Amino acid sequence: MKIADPILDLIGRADENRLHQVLDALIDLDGPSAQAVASYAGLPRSQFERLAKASTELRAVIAERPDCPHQVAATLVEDPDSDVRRCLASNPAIADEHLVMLASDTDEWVRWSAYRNPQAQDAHRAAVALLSPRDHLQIADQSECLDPATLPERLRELTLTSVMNPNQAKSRAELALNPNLPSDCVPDLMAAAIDRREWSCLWKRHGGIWPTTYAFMNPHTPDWTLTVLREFGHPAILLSGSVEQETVCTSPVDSLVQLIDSGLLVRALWRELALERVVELEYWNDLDEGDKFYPSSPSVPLLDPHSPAHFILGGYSEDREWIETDPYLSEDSAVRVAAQWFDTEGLFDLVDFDEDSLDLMAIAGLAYLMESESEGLSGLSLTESGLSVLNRVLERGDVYVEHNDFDTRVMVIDSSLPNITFAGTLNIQKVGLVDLLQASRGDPMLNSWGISSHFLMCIAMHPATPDHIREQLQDDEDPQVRLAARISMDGAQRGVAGPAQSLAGQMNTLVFSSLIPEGRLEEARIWLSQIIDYDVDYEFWNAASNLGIVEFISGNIQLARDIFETVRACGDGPTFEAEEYLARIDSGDVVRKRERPRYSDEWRQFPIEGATPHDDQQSHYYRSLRIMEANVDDKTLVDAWVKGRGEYATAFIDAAMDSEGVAALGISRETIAKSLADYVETVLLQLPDSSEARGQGIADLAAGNRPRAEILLRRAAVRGDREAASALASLLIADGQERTGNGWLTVSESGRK
Amino acid sequence: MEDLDEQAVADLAGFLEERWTEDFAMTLAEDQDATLGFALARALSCGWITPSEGMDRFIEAAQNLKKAVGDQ
Repeated sequence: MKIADPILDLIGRADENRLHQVLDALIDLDGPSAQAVASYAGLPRSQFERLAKASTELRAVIAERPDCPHQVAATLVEDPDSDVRRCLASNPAIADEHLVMLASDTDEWVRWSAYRNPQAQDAHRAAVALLSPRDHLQIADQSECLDPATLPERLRELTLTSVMNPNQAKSRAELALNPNLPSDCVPDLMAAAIDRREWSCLWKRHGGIWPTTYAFMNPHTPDWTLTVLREFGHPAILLSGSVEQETVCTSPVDSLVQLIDSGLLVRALWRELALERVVELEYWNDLDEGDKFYPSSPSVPLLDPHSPAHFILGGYSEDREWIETDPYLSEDSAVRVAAQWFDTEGLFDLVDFDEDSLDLMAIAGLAYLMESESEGLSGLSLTESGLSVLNRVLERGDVYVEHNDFDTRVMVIDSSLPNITFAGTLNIQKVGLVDLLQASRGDPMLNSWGISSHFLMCIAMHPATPDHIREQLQDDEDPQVRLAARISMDGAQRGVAGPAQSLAGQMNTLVFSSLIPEGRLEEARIWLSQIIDYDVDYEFWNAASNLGIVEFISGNIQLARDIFETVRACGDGPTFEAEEYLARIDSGDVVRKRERPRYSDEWRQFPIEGATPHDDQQSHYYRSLRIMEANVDDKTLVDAWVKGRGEYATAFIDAAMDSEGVAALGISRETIAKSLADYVETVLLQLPDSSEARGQGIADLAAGNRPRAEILLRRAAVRGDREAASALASLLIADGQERTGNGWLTVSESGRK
Repeated sequence: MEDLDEQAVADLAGFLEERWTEDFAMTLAEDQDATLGFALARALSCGWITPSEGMDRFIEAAQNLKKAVGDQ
């Protein structure tokens, strides 16, 4: 198969001598680089001649090429290596005189290929038949799906048939490999693809790694060669440390595929993100689906380990010299393996009856109890000495441990290509890479499989990404990229949010896994109100339940009870969580009420300067309101609040907490958060507090202010106001939102308030 | 497990160690609860685990087997 290389084409058009020099340098690098040159579609004659004298592998590649010059083929037809002659014998453009010679070659497999050559005539086949066994003289039918001679219209028909039948994976894979397949068939094949074989065949449609790309993958490439390739706009310039070039001369899709297939993009981004502890590199042993290697972030879902994107980008590769893997048995795996041995082999597997086998029997029996009788023996766990015996027994090798049982630690080590980097590139290169990734979405695989978005998320989360790029990514078309950019604005990408999928789900996880445990309860209220005001369905109720937890922890027990009872009544959210907290409240498991600053109009008279008692949070709160009134642009504040108050609030509070005055005065994060929320909602938006929300909501509805009315009624209804729930239900049902409306109707009829 | 008879556990562990032969292993193979009881006894004696609720059933099964085997 010939390999294109638009960079070599450009060099050749500009300066033929330079092309020869670059090709020779790439051949000198040997290995895959020279192999790729041997497959280069525009290979000049002089390099054909050079490669005809090179290694067996390289001679075989050029022998197979239909454009192999006659004189070169004349050398190869007498090549001492049968592999080379066999490749020539299968060359569809072979000269008749060469085919005649190979039809009577001494090697059986050379003759086998000659017999099947499309140029073979009866005379050639007869020559083969004289020397070869009869069963070598059958020509297998070429699959219609794979045959490049099949007409595009017929390939369309075959695609339609194969995508209708899940069992036709083989046909779909062959169609994907057919170069004549019309490109409009690809999305159908993508949608029907079920496993890595199909994904792989589809991905191969993008072509192979260019010879020039290998230059960037090899630490021994001469600097002058890299300089030439950069000058001609090879896409690897976007990952080359401190190179003042960002103009890539190839299409965004071709460029990105090169950066992916070469592993350069993964090397730069995953490696640096792991070193910065933004992601963990995970490795799964999997004999069935292939080993898995991927980055995992506690903040955003970066890659689904069962997805085509994961398969294309991750998976196992021997070439990844920048990591070391260390197989080990985790405690859970060790217990599972020992338990399985006890259950399946156990006493019958023992040969010697010594101290070691006694330990094996006993510890495996314990493991079995831990795995199978965990309900009846809930407190059973191994002590340190028990664990040490378990490990010793398994290390002795008496129990067979399968590949899949091992866990794997991944350690990032030095890269052999230190100049391939994201952090070390200039901002202009980073912008170029982001533009390239966004523009590459025209390709169905890069787009639908989420590959472009994955790397944009990585960039959004990379500590070396400048804020102006994050701002650009906050307007990206993919909500996951937008989220990654938002949470990274204040450094929160280092493990704040959780692995949920939707934006609302991620906010809920962030509140539950980080803000609540850290006691950032005012901030949690702000984040949750974002979902409660606008979202519906499960994540809405999840947010309501989290709000209940916030109020429970704050000691607002009645409010917590009202919220949990509402969650329980809806039947559509985390009702188990609501039940759990209601039981805690009923059992008297309450926490001391936390003091919060109170809103009152007194703040308007509070002096904006002058001493306030250290740690007097009420005074600090009034002062903060005054400062906001004097310094913050109200319209910007309201816009940011409506667009995404959680991210805005966290960034605002972080910035405030960084100021020296705040630290010196002992102003708490909670006070700043509450003053910000109250300034926007009470002062600017003039939203009433929860006790008046229902009445104001109904008044707003009558006055025709529907959006505000819905928010107020929703807030009141969540806090246990059944009349508000009833009004909200009527509003939503009349609006055609029957499912949500009926949910609120159920709540309103649940008998409280 | 508060009321686990420590002496009984020690006796079982000692008995297991003393009788640990292929024949005894085959006897154990016919009574899984007793096998697990002996495993618990050895693990408790060696400090690999601490007593917990629910072990009695297995210890009792091991004691029954010990009685049945007796001085054979």
